[in-house]
Amino acid sequence: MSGRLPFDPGRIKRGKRAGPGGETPPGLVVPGDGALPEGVLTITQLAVRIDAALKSGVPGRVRVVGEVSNVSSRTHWYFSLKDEGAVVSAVAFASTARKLRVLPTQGERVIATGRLDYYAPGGRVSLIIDELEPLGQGALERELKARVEMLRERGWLDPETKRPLPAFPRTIAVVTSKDGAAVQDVIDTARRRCPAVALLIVDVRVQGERAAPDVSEAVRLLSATAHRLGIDAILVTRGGGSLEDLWAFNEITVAEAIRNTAVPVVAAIGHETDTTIAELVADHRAATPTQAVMALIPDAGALQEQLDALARRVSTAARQHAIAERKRLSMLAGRPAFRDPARVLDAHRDRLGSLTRQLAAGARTAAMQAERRLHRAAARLERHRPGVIQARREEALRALEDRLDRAVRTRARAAADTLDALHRELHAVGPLQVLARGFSVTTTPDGRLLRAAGEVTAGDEILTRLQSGTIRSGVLGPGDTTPAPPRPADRPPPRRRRKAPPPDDRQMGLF
Amino acid sequence: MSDRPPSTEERYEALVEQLEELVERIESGEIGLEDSIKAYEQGVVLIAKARAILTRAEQRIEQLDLETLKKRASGDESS
Repeated sequence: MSGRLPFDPGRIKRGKRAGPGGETPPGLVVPGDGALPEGVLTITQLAVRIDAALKSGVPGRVRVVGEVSNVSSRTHWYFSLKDEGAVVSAVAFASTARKLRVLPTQGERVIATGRLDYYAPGGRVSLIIDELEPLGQGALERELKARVEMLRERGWLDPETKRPLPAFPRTIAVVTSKDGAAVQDVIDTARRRCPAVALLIVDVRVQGERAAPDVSEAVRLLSATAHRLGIDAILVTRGGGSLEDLWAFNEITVAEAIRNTAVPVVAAIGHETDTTIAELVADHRAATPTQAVMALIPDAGALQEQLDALARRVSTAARQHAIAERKRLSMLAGRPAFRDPARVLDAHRDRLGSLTRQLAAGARTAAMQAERRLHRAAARLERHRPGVIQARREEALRALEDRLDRAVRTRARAAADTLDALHRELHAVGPLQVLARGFSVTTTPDGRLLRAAGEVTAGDEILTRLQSGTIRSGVLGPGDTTPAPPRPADRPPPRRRRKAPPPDDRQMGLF
Repeated sequence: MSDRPPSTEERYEALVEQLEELVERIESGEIGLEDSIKAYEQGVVLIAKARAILTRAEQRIEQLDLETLKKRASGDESS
């Protein structure tokens, strides 16, 4: 199929002239040998009929939806459009293909618009396409998205790579078409904002195949001369249009030029809803040319106000500085040193006096303390002198002597007392005392004490001793025979100190 | 662009920057009274210059095509 047209216009024209309704005109001589049987058509005759039937049966322009397959592109694009039940060949000639820009891909669903054509020499019906739109997302949009992704990966869309715009640019270079809608908006807005900012307008094509190279070259040249021309920012702008119209601003060459400028770039391409790559990689994106200028050029009125405020601040600050200095001076003048120098001296004198007193008092206290310490030391020394020790020892000895003396005397007195008491006791229990109480003692003439009546017999002589004197008597005979309680003959009479007798026995006594 | 671009010192931005610096120096009280009076006088001059820029009535607009820009750029390089 390559390199040749899918139909032969000459033949089709001839076919068209064949007559309406596809009737074979009478008298048409069919090439071949001899006459043909009645009702037999040649292929060409049939083709003419097919072509006529196609033209009468199908509207001149059709819009069809189908899936793209068998894509082949050289000068022209050839592919098939199909659905589940049928296939139709399609072709986009070179002029249409240039307009479409993006070749459809295998399997893509598209809406194709064109006319049907029967190519008799090829025996084929084709859809001659003049419009092709992808179903769903457009091919251009998809391409744009892919490019945006690529630039994002390169980091060209990062907000931190964006440069700040100058606060007060000297000159702004404007890359746009001098015939476009944008340029007048730019000039008007700039004049309104601040006439002090100069504009350098570079006329470029903003649409079509030359637009991208033009725009990128202008941006590059402006960047190179920015310093010398006093250009502080570049504005790239154009008015609204279709995606195809704006496509130059999606080209990577433009993006690269914008990216590599020496001064910040503002871009405002198309309407607010359009987004182009030029805008995405620029340092600042504006919705419209007017807004771009407002971002770039400060408002002279606002600057006037700012300047007024600064002027006020300068004079206020200077004045306040002077006032503050004056106040400081008067405060210094009012300080006691200047007001009453004598008082300053007095204060010093007082201080000196008080210091002197403190010094004297301190010295006194120190002396007293030293003296006290000396006394204490002397006393301690005295205690340790030998004579003192001797005296202390003698004194201790004397004390011991006294104690001994007292002890001995006490002891002697106690002994004497005991002795007296014993003597009194002895006297009290002595036989003489018993006799004095009326008792008497009877003995034999040889002095043997008589305790029982049986110890004597009648006729014996006995002696009875009274308190005063002794009686000699003779025994007449036994009296009462009641014997006295038996007691061992040679036992001495019970002593007063024996414990055995009960207390009343002791009282009752021996006798 | 027949006009010579304004020198860096004469730029509005630079003027305002110097002015702000002056104000801050005076306000800080770190400079002496005499210096502050000097700064004030300087400030008055700066304000006058900045005002002159703002009140410039006529806007300089130049238009050139790509070829002219190219020539000017290459002229830059040669000169």
